[in-house]
Amino acid sequence: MTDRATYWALWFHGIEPIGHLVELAREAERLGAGAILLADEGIDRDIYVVFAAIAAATERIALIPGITNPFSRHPVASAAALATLEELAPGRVVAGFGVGGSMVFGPMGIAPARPFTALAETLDVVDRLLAAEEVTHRGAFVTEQAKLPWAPRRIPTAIAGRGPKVQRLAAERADWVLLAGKKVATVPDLVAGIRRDAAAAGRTPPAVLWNPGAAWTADAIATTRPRFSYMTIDMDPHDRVAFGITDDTVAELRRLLLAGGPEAAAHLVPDAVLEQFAIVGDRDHVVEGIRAARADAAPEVLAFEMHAYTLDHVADVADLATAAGCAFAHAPILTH
Amino acid sequence: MVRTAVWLFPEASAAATVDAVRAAERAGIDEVWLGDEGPAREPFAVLAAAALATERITLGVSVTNPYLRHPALTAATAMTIDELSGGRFVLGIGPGGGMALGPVGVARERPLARTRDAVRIIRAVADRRATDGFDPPPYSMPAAPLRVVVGARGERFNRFASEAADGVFLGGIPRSVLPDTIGWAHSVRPIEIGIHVNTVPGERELEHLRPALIWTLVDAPPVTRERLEVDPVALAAAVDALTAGDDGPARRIVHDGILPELVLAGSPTQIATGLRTYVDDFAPAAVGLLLHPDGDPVGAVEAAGEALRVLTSLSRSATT
Repeated sequence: MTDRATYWALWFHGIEPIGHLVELAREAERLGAGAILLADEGIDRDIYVVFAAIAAATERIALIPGITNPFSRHPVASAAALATLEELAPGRVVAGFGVGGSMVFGPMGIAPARPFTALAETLDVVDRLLAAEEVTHRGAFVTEQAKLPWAPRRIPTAIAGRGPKVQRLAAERADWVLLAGKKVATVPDLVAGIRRDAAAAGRTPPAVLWNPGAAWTADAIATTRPRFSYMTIDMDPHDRVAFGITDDTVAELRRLLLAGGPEAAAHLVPDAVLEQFAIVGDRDHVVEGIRAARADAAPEVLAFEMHAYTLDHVADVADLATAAGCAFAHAPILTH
Repeated sequence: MVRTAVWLFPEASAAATVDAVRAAERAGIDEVWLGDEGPAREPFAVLAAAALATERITLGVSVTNPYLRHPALTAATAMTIDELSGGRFVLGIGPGGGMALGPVGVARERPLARTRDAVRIIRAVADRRATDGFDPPPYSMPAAPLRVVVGARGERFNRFASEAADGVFLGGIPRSVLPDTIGWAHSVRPIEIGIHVNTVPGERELEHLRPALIWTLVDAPPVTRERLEVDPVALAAAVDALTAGDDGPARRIVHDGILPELVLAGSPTQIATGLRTYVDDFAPAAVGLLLHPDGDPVGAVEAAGEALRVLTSLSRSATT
């Protein structure tokens, strides 16, 4: 594997007051983080408003919607927002899209018919709008001679999502692929596959940003476990058997999820699931795990969860990322 | 004392528009409004940047529409800017004009019903309660009061605003139609009236703007066109000609007799004198200038500031 630099990033949800999110992003930049990702879910804070505020308070950290979707905004509106953000933070914006999920659609009562098709079309339309082309498109959504003549430049695109279709789309069309919630041991092969598919398509392979679900304190592990409540139910039956998860457990998980959400069901998530889908343990174990992950998959960026929205946590991540060999981002990490 | 406002579309760069907002605050203007239309910058991101660069001025969007974003998201966006600015944001919503919806190929289907639903959902999100079309997730932003105004031309919309909104944004509405429009807006509750008038600094700019004013007539309800004696067939032909690059018919339709209905032109003092008549005749809560900056939004705002200063001093001297 090449000794390419791996930068580190933080993955935010807009669940804290905006002034505090800005403060945390500033500190992250000061400590060498290469990027902030921001989820676009539920009724959390608007990603472009938060990013505009972070842009004003920072100089170089990349701003990545992690991820937005083709539905809560019309793709033309998303393109305009991304281009506006690029004007406010030149060279620092990535257009991150996914199909969207229950956290987005549940609260808004959206039930898209063809989410993957919409994602593929959105990628194409947004890319063309950001290149200041006029776009007329009829598919999962419509545009009619839409144009952003002022769009400053093409913005790198990023895709996140589960499954081979999305990964192939990333290989063939995107500049970045965002990986999260994957079995850690499978990621190197998955990344190799994406790089191979890209080569076969005659293009530069997408850069890889990977969130391996690192957690190295009791509190952090406690916030990680609930994230896997849904995944444990949605797991392949074959895998479920391998993890020793019975049908009774699945039923109980469903009941608890309905009644009290992921936290209520978390205690039923086997340790084995955590151990395979995340890098958890004491700090040394996690540093080693991250180091190995870096070596095997050679991602351009490793992303870390905000287990706590505190300056201490940001410093802790910076420390651990550095110990695991991540580079300090002295300059913007995006290349065009 | 009537509040003062400027309204512009973010056609200049985001940074230049932020500078214009800063200039508005420096000039002592009370409110700045940015339009939300397909080809211009996204106003919410620009207002976020403007919020950080200002302290007192009210920041408004006029108007967003119910089609380009899910209303629950629109609510979250509004609440985020409100949080960032310390409570200075106002959300203007309306059915959207041709410039907003054309590029996204969205037909204005059921505009009143969609706007009504949007306002209902926006209120529910701001209050953190469930409604048809919104189910509060386990986490969302804390409940917060959100000011919502409706910007629309027709009777049904303004009556709806009177039931459900905190105010109306009457932008670019022909003067002789204002009494009726305000009557509709006050038909249920005495909500705040904001009147925003096209302004240009001189003859050259006036002639430049003249054909574009035809869109005001296109978007207006039929009763307005009747009142102004605009022939619908001639209007349609003028729109076609304009789209094909010939502004002659549009110039003839927006003749000198109609111009005073639609625009104030001249020096800051002349504009102030014109605005004063709106204040005297209609007693709005706010009066604003719709600017057509042509590349220099800061300069346009500074000139507007001058006009509004004169207006304020005219009003003051009238009451002493």
